[in-house]
This record gives sequence, structure tokens and C-alpha cells, in this order.
Amino acid sequence: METSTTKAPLPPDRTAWWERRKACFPEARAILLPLLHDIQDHRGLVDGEAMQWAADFVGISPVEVYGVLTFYWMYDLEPRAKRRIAVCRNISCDLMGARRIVEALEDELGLECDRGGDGDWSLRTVECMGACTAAPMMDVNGRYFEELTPEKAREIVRAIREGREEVPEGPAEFAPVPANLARSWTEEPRKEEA
Amino acid sequence: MSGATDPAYAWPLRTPHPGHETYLFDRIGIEGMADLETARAHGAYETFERVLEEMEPSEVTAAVKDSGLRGRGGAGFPCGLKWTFMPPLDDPRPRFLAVNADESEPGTCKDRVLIRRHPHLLLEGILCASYAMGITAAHIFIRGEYVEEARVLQRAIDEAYAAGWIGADIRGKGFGVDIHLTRGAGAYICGEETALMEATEGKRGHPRPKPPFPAAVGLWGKPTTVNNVETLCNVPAILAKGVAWYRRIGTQASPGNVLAGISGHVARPGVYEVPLGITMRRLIEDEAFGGGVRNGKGLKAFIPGGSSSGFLPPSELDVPLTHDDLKEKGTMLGTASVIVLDEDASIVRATRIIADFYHDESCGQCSQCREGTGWLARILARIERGAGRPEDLDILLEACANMKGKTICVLSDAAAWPVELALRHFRGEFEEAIDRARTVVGVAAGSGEGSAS
Ligand SMILES: Cc1cc2nc3c(=O)[nH]c(=O)nc-3n(C[C@H](O)[C@H](O)[C@H](O)COP(=O)(O)O)c2cc1C
Ligand code: SF4
Ligand code: FES
Repeated sequence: METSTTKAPLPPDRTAWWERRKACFPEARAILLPLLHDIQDHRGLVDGEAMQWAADFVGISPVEVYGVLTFYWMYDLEPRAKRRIAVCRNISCDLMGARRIVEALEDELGLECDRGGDGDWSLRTVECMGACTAAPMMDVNGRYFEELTPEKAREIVRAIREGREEVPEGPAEFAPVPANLARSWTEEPRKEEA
Repeated sequence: MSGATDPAYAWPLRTPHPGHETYLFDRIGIEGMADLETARAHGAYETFERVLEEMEPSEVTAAVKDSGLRGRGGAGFPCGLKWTFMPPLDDPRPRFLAVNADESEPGTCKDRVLIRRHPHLLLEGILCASYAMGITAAHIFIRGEYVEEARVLQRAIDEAYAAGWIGADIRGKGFGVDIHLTRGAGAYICGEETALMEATEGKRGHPRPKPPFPAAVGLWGKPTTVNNVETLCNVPAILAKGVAWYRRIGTQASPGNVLAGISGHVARPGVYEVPLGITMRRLIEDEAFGGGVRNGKGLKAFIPGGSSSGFLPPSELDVPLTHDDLKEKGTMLGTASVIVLDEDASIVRATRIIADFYHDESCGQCSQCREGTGWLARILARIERGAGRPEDLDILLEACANMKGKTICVLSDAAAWPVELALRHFRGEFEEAIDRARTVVGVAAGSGEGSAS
């Protein structure tokens, strides 16, 4: 039941999947965070048109979608680089030499950290990524590289450049929407007193 | 494809745990435990099936309550007691379990190991909890950065649905529950239980004022229990082996094993399953665990339970890892994530990094938190870069005092604690940094640059 006037930012099979996925939750907007990830994975960013479409799709206003988009660091409103490196700067990684990793990467990429990127690569620091016992670490497009040394970090960049090391690009795989959902809140809608 | 090693848990896999039983990590070393078939071959869902056949929901809750299991998400609240806050089972409203897989407290990476290596253990824990509380649907919220973990967990959910372990009328026993996974998009505050519910509903992670508590008004306004991943992973073992067995592990007030992460300057960083009550000394120094400060250096300080638990000096190494013992030392067990700082590390810098983190992650709803975290970060930054002033330490403590007990959630308090503890135990180092600044760059420090406002 597509009511939106804007063009869907996703392929039709994907849109149909999200339509079914909505039914897993009491309110459609519960899919918003994963839906925006998916749009971003397909388009490289979530632009105004996609925002409008997503808002219509889950039945909220574009302003609310914008509020969500800007609250979380993982969404991009501007076109993002093809390969995005995020180096953890938090305590465990800092103790284990995260600064030297950043310096090595700046040098290897010819980029300044936290100053955007060059379309091909971007480099930023982030807060704790949950890999503290394997510090220092970096994330490239959602893949973690841990127990780094400056030389190892450089080598990973070279390997990705030369196609010897793979990092995720493009959308994630589909998960089937289960056939035997229990979903009792829609089967037994109940009125509650205030 | 290279890079197939998993250093975050490589150490504990290489090292058998001497002298104590494990029930969280006992099967994580088995290749393919994330696949249903392998997991089933090693006992996955057997406890849940027995529970469905032999136990009443109230008996499950009673067992978890009697076990003394306390939440592993940071606050240490008794798990079974929390479950009893849910309305009685004959209350017709739908009700939810919110599973906290947001794991973002700096130093903490234990839930990640469980999810990657043994997702069916988590699902079995969720199923047992859902049966006990009559849950309609369990919603797992996983931090957005855990892309690979989300993929593994979603696959486990799909397999369990397909095999009839999740969904309507499980095993034909008349009990049904759904389990859904929602990926976040990067915001520490979403780990706070009410922010977690907001984010699960597709909103910004703004904590809700309490009361009402989640058991009364939770996800979509319905009764909800929030539990951490590791907490739920304790449940199948309690039900399988019994309360008496469980209570023999750990201490009277803090029973069971805990996943302790050791990071920073130790010889063998890793996530280890240890009984509560083990001393910090053993955890940091024992060859089976941290293996001591690396490169033969001395210990300057350790953080006992994640970034908000602050710094303790080496003289406190004999403190047992329990909720109450650490509370007595003015800190907390938190997420049992130990961070070790060697003699060359700078407490000033470490404190500044932690303050920066809370400033970045404050959701901004409360002025005390929004402004306070900014003050701490700015003052600590100027001390670190050599522009500190003698009055700065008092300003810091005053700012901390103003941040505590006044806000919607405790992020504000959590930002103040580490600064207070750092100043309690390592004040000299801050004073030195300020003195050095005044003698070395005395003119620059007074030049007005780096004002805190
Ligand atoms: C700022 C803040 C962040 C938190 N982050 C997490 C987290 O990442 N994971 C978690 O399980 N609990 C976190 N908590 C604790 C939760 O609010 C809640 O107490 C916990 O999930 C309850 O589960 P448990 O009783 O099983 O521990 C956080 C609390 C606060 C105040
Ligand atoms: S204390 Fe801080 S993080 Fe918590 S609700 Fe208030 S502003 Fe947000
Ligand atoms: S501190 Fe870097 S991953 Fe946790």
C-alpha cells in the first residue's frame, strides 16, 4: 500500500520486504533505524527525497525522520566516501596507541583525520566500538580490524586498495520474515484505560 | 579472506580456566556454534524444552530469583525480582522483553563475544525469560556498529524460527513468542534502558523520566522488562543445573560467574569468565587471566568496571570483584570491564578522554548534564594541554557535585564519578600538570586562551 508521492529509494523487492517487516511491530516506525541503514547502503546517503519517502512509508513527518537521522552518528546526509575508516579514540585504544594508528593512516591516505575525505577514502575517530580487549582497532565499512599496529593498519589500507582484503560495500543481505509469527498484539487488540 | 581471527576472545579460548566451572563460555570455542545444527548437537534449547514441559512460569521466575542473579548490564539489579514487577500473567495486555545488546560502555566487549560465538544461548535465555513472564515479543536492540554480530544473530533467529523454536505455539506446548532484532545507528545513550525502548520504537534515544518504570509503561506503552545479553545468558544454566549449584559459584550477595574484560596495559587482554568475588589482583596478575602489566612495567591505576567506574590505585588491588565490595570503595562493578594503566600512562589524559566521551554522548535533555559534561571536558582539556589554573580542580569538583542526582538518567552521574575518583586518588598528578603549566608556559596559561565558558 504505497501512498508516497516520492520515488522509492530502494529496489521494489526490498520495499516489499520492508512492507512485510512493518507488520512485525505494533507501530510501523519501529523499522525506521534499520530502514535508514538500508537506504544509506543502497544510495550512499539519506537525502531529502529519501527522508520524505521514509517518513511517508512509516507514517511520520519528515521532520521526525530528520531528528532521528541527526541523532545517530552512523547516518550520512552528505555523500560518503567509498571506504570509510573509523578509528576508536576511547580509553582502551588510546592506551594501546590509537594516536599512532591515526598518524599512520593519515600518512598512508594523505588525508587529515576528522576533516571529511576525498570521495574514495574518509578517516575519522569514533568513541568505543566494543573491541577494547583487542585494542587498538579500526572499522572499515562495518568490518573490524583489531590488535593493530601502525604498520598493520597501513598494510590493511594497501590490501583493500589492491583488492587483497574485502570490506563490505553495498546493502546487507535479506533476512526472511518468519512464517510462524506469534504476533498476539495484533490478534487481540485491547483497549486500555488511561 | 584473511583476518579470520577473533582476538577479542582468542586468549580465553587458548587458556582453559583453571579451578572453576564455566557455563557462559564453555561452548564458545566449538567451531560453528552459531549454526543451529551444531548448537543443538551441544545442547542448545534442551533446557528450554524441559522448562516448557516441566515447569510453571512462576517456577522459572522463582528459580531465577532464588539464584540471586544480578543484572550484568551495569546496575546489578536482582534479575528475578525485576521479573516479578511485571503484571500477573492473567493481565491481558501484550508485554515485551527489551534485550539490551547496545554494549557501548568504554572498556566493555563481552556481549559481543556471546552474540558472535553462541547466539543460540542468548535466544534460549530470552525464550526462558519470555515463558516466565508471558512475553508477547522480545525486541533485541543491538548497537549499529556491531554489523557482523547483527548478521550472526539475525541468522540464528531465522534458523530458530524455521525450526520452530521461536514463533507461534512452540513445540506444540501452547506458548508462543516472537523475537525481533533492531539495529541501532550509533549513540551510547541507547544503552540506558528507557532510551533503548525509544530507539527500538524508531525514535531518538532520549531517556524517559522514571517513574513510570518499564514494568508499568515500557515499549509501546506496555509492560516491559529490560535485560542485558549476559544476564539472559545466565538463565539457562540456572534452570538446567539448579539454584543450589548456581549459588555455589561466586559470593552470597553476588552469585555466579561474570564476563570480565581486561584491556589496556596487560600482557593478555581478553574477555574471561570468572566467578564473582575473584580479586582484582588475581584478574590482572594471574597468568591465566591478565598476566600482569605488560613489558614488566609497574601499575599506576586500574578502572574496575567500565569508564564510569573511575580509577583506583594499586593499593586497592585486593578488592574482590563484587557489587558490594566495589561500592564500598566508592566505585562499582559496572560491566566488570577492567582497564589497566601502567606507570607511564597519564591519568589526566585518561580522565579527559572519558570526560570527552560523556560530553559527546550526552543526549542534551537535561541542562546539568549537557552543560556539566562540557565543563568537565573543557577544563580537563586545558589541564592536559598545559593551560590549567590552580582553581581548576575545585571548579571540577563543584561541577561534578552539580551533575549528580538531578537528571533524567544517570549518564550525568556517570560522567562525574570518574573525575571525582581521579581527583581523590591522583590529585597530585593534576596539580603537577597545572604547576608545570605555570612554570613552563606561565604567560600562555594566563593569556585567557582556553576559558571554560
Ligand atoms: C548511560 C547508560 C548506558 C547504559 N548502557 C548499557 C548497555 O550498553 N548495555 C546494557 O546492558 N545496559 C546498559 N545500561 C544499563 C541499563 O539501563 C539497564 O540497567 C540494563 O540494561 C538492565 O539489564 P540487567 O538488569 O539485565 O543488567 C546503561 C545505563 C546507563 C545509565
Ligand atoms: S542525564 Fe544526560 S544523557 Fe541522561 S537524559 Fe539527561 S541529558 Fe540525556
Ligand atoms: S576503547 Fe576502543 S574499542 Fe573500546
